[in-house]
Amino acid sequence: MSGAGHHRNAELQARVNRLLDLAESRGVITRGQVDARIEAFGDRVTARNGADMVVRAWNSPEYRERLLADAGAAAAELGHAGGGYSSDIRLHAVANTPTVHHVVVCTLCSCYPLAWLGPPPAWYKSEAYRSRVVRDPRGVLREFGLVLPNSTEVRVWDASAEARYLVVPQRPPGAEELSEDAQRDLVTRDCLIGVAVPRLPAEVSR
Amino acid sequence: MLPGMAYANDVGGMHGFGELPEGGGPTFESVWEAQTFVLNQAFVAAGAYTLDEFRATMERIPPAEYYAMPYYERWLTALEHLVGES
Amino acid sequence: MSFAVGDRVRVLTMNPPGHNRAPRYVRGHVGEVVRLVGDGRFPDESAVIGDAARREDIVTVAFAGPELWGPDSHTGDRVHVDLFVSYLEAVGERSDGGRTR
Repeated sequence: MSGAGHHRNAELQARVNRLLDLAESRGVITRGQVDARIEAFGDRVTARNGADMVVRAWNSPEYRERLLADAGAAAAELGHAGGGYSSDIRLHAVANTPTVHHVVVCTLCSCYPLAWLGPPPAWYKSEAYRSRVVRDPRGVLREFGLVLPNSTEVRVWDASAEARYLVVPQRPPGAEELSEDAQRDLVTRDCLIGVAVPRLPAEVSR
Repeated sequence: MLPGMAYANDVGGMHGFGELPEGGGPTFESVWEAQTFVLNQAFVAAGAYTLDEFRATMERIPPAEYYAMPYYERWLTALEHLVGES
Repeated sequence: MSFAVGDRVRVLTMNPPGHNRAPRYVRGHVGEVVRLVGDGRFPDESAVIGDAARREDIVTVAFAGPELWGPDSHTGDRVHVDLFVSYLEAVGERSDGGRTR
């Protein structure tokens, strides 16, 4: 980072420090609790939770049905409870098929299933993604390396109210021979947002 | 209240924002960003203000300033305003 | 006002001075209700009076690409937007032949 960048960062950190003190003095949250939450975004509250749900759905038609009917309850079944801002926020899962591909955005801010996947990546919050994916989803997906045939219909979900969306990608052919752990590795965060699809590493495919 | 009724946040369909940022970067680039994120969750959960009050406050940052700010500085600015620190 | 899955709706043409969660790009456009989301605090009020705001139903409306972006858009593509029902008005004939409005 440049010298000016460092200075700016220090300035912003100082502003946040004042709020951390204020939050603690008002009994809202302690510094220790803030640190613990940030740590959870590194290990417990991550896209692994969403991958867990997807792989269970790949391997259990009954779970898949429950996931598509009530994703919040299906997440809780696997120990991935919601939480976060408000109990009004609920999760909804949308499943890709051979002819339909789903992709998620929030054009008004950056609503994201963070209670289940952790905080969103930088590109998800960018004006570039949020402005374009509703107007030119195929172009945006192409930039992510995902080229969809004309016969596939794209469904963009703009999370503008209380629902948060999770994409359930299709299991790539051959993946059924992998262990559930190895299947989970295929389901990246980007697959759960819908800007990628799970792919078998070349050496595993046959 | 911050001045103006700018809706700089409402970008669906707009042109001109350029290339997508690199995909692989970290969720938070600096500690203050992660702290801002958690603080906002905590203040909302404590009932200090609603998510809509937070969004409305952030939306009223004048567009030129809004777009010039790093993402989480917008959050920080709204947060400071809502808890009476600005 | 309440809507059912399959209803055709138009997002009100509006420019309220306060907070509002109907994206500009769908205002004035017609789509189809595809899902009932449940309810939530009405954001336009919640932004001003917090938790005292009334609760209101939210529906997911699917808009065809060309309806929003013109003929260059892929005809099979859809954009789904979750909208509070007071942002919407019913349009046209229902499949049972009765007018909704």
